[in-house]
Formats: sequence, structure tokens, C-alpha cells
Amino acid sequence: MKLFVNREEFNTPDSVKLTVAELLNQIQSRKDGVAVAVNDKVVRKVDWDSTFLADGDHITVITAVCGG
Amino acid sequence: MNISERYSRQIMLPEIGIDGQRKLCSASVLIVGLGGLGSPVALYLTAAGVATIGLCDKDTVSISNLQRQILYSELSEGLPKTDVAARRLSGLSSHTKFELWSDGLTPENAADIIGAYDLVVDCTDNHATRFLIDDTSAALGKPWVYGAINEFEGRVSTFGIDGFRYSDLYPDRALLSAMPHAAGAVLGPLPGLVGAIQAAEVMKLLCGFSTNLVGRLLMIDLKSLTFNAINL
Repeated sequence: MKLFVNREEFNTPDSVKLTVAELLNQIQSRKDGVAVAVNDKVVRKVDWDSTFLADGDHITVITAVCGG
Repeated sequence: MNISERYSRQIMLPEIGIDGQRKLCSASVLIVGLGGLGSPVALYLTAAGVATIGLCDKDTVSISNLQRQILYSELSEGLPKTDVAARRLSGLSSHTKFELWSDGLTPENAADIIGAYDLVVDCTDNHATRFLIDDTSAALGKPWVYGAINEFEGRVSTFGIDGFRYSDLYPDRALLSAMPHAAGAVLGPLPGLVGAIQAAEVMKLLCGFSTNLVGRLLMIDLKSLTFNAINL
């Protein structure tokens, strides 16, 4: 299936169902201190293991910037 | 004071009007952090006629601040930001009363300080203070306008109204709180842009606009010139 991670295309085998947590592993993203949105809606970290992604989903990894 | 002349260009907006201006002229707002974000936030809220502004920061002005912290000048170097800011802002408007909190926001003083204002604007440079604002505002039922910047990226949202908290967005509190204060790269106009949006958000909240950033996280990238609102 075709996903978009921070606007960049990311392809995974159609046979494998993928959760948000597994996607973060695949793209080697850090998992601590980031937020994730799927199709512009935040998925809380407690739900990353149970939220499955679908073809065409747009995933946004939101780093916690701290400057002021 | 003749508020109808001084603030005429915003009173003309039907969404503000004289009723909205009266709300601004009786509102109290706390600005935590008087750096890149706090500078434009303080200038715009003073210009808008907010009655009382709390200026909270424990730092002094350094030369490397001047690239983006537009409240200060070369003559400010080494002086407390609260003092310089209050002097500058007092010259802009005699209608606003400034309250100075030169020890910064701490776990010991947060409830007393935040409790004294209608609304808080987060312009801090570290996660620990953001979590402190999040906790204290939630306990006191105060809305707060979040802003944060890094390099070309900015974020703005409003917490404390719909129940969704900053700690719901970023639950890794211990890890983030242990990170050092931001001292990284930032394009000078970025905090100007983000701070202006925060100031606009404060005005809209005080005047009761129905469209705001409650339940939404605005993500700005000044490099690619994209704005994207994420639903919380």
C-alpha cells in the first residue's frame, strides 16, 4: 500500500497490515517525544499499537519543538 | 480615554466592534517568556489595548537575542528583559498596566501568577515550563495559547478549553522536560510570524470569535511556506 509520511511517498507490501507504531519502526523515527497524526487527526500514543493504516493515508510525525 | 479613535481600525471589524474592544480593554493576559515569541505577542497585545499584561521572564538581554527579539536594542544588553520590555511597551501605550515577574515561572509561583490572569500565552523556550503551564492552567481552568518554534517550523494551538491537553499531545513528559532550553537555529522572522498568530488568537479568544485554534494544532513551515492545521 502507498502511504504518505510527512508528504513523502512510502510504499509497503499490500499483504502486511501496519500499525502506527510499526510504521514508526520502519521509517526509523524516534517514538519518544513525538506526536503522530493520521489524515490530519492526532492519534494518541496509547493508540499507536492498535491503529492500523490504510492505503493512501497521510501520516504526519510532529516533533516537539521547544524554542520561543 | 477615547478608545473609539485609538482602536478604530479594529473596532471597524464587526467581529470585534465596540463590545469586543471593551473586552480587550478589561482583559488581563500573562506572557510567559519574553524572547522571540514574547516580543511580538507583547507588542501586539499592548497595541490592541489589553488592560493588564503580565511579563514573566528571568533572563537578561544578550546580543544574540537581537536577531529576532524585537522588543530590545543594543542598549538593552545585560538588562532584565522584564524591565526593558515594560519600558518599551509603556512608551507604546499608557492604557496598559504592566506587571513584572522577573523570577520567571516556577512550580512554587505558577498557581499564584497564572491565577491572576484571564489567559496565558506560552512563549517559553523549554518543555518543562510548557508542562508547568499545562498543569497549572488545567488545575485553574485557564485557557492558554501555545507557541513554539525551531529553525523554520512553528506551532500554535489553544489548550485549556476543550479538555485536550499539551500532555495528551506529548505524553513523554520526563524525557522532554529533561531536554535543554532551546538554543538552536531559528530564522529571525519565524517567531514574528508565530507570535503574531498567537496575539491574534488571544484577541479572538477574548472577543469570543467562534473560529480559533481550540482543538487544532497549526503547523507552519516557513521554508516550504506551508500551513497545516491538525485536529487534536
